[in-house]
Amino acid sequence: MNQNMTFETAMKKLAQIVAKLESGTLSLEESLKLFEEGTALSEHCYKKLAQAEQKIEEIDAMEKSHE
Amino acid sequence: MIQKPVLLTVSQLNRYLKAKFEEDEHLRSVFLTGEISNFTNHYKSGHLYFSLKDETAAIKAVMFVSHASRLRFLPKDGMKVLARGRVSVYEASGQYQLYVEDLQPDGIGALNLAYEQMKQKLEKEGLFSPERKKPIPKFPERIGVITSPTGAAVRDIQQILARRYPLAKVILAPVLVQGENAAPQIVNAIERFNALDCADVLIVGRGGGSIEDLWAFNEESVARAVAASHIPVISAVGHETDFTICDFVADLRAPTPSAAAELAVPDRDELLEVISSLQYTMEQLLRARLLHWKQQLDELSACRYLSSPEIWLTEHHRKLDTMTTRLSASLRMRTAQEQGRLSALAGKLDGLSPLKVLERGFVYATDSTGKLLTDVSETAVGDALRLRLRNGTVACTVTSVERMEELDESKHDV
Repeated sequence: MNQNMTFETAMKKLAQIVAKLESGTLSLEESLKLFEEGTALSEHCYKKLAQAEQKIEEIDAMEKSHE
Repeated sequence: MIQKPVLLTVSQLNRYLKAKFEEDEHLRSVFLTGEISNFTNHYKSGHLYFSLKDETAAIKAVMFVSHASRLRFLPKDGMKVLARGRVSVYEASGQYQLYVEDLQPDGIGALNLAYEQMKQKLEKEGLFSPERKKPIPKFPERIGVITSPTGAAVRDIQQILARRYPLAKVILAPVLVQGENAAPQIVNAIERFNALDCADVLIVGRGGGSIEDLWAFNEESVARAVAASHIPVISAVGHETDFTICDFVADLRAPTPSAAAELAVPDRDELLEVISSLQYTMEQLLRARLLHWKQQLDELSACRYLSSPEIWLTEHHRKLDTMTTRLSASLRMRTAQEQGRLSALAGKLDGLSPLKVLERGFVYATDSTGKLLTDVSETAVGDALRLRLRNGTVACTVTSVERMEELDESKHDV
């Protein structure tokens, strides 16, 4: 799984996977694969959120980095 | 001796009158209440010319551009105002007039009026319309904060963002939030964020204060900058009861700066719970599926036909035997039935046989050709007949013929 995936994207994918599993129409193999993927995503989101520390910057610094 | 009157020119007289007016300290600073009429705005020069009147009298007035430019509202005919100025004479015309230095709407307050006028103007342009409002992103990665670098507002915003959603980077644009230079700085900050495209949402605001303190957020320039921003703007000015024009134009109004921080981001603890419960749901769903398949597998292996196929065959044989037995039995029954019928029919036939009739004593006659006689008209006197009896025949000759009455056919039984 791509570690650069944004939090928003990861949450969306997680919700989609749960919806697919809920539909109950998947084969055993598919279910297992999706479960694995979903677990990886939820771990990624959980870690990102739990470990995050706020960064503060001034807009002047932003402008400098753009030049 | 009669003194000759002093002969004055018009200019001299007007100059004298002007001096007289300006000598009078009462006329140097006059506070006047009246109604505007004959209002003219010399757009080229910027000077305002009008009259002030009450029920019975009027006075001419002029407000030069140096003073008029500071007006925060547009004077109109019929408007009741308070005017401060000096009364003097315009020498060239001999007209005395009020030179207005400050003008205020009477009874409402200049700022409130200006606020109302600006609000109406921008609302007419459609700047407040709900269709214009952009949605606030659910998971912003960068939050631009435009406010004073000192004071409670910026501290509160930063703390609440850190607690709720530390994932989002905070980019601060420090600005003045009151005074003349506030509006241009706020506008500049909004434009910079848009030009750099370095934020997903902007929070613009300040803590509480009077209408004068909050005035920068009623300025047209700030309103237009907020309207033009392609980054969604949350307006957070003053307290819950303060409404500024910035609030109406923004994509979302927050009653306070702290509320803005809460509206801008989701709550971390809530999200962690959601993630946990999604994980739990997935585990439950998978467990349910596995159980489902295991059950199916169990059922299949419990099926007798799959585990011991000979049962299948034995069943078949048994069925076959049963059917065969039934078939034979039914066949026998049918045969017996048929035989019974046959005997019955034979018996009936027998009863109908002419031989049986003869045994009962009946006789039949045939003529010389052997033809059976059934009618007396078929024979005549002297014919030779043969009579057939039970045990033989008799030859006879007809001696007489007697026809009997016709019997009812229905009385015959065969």
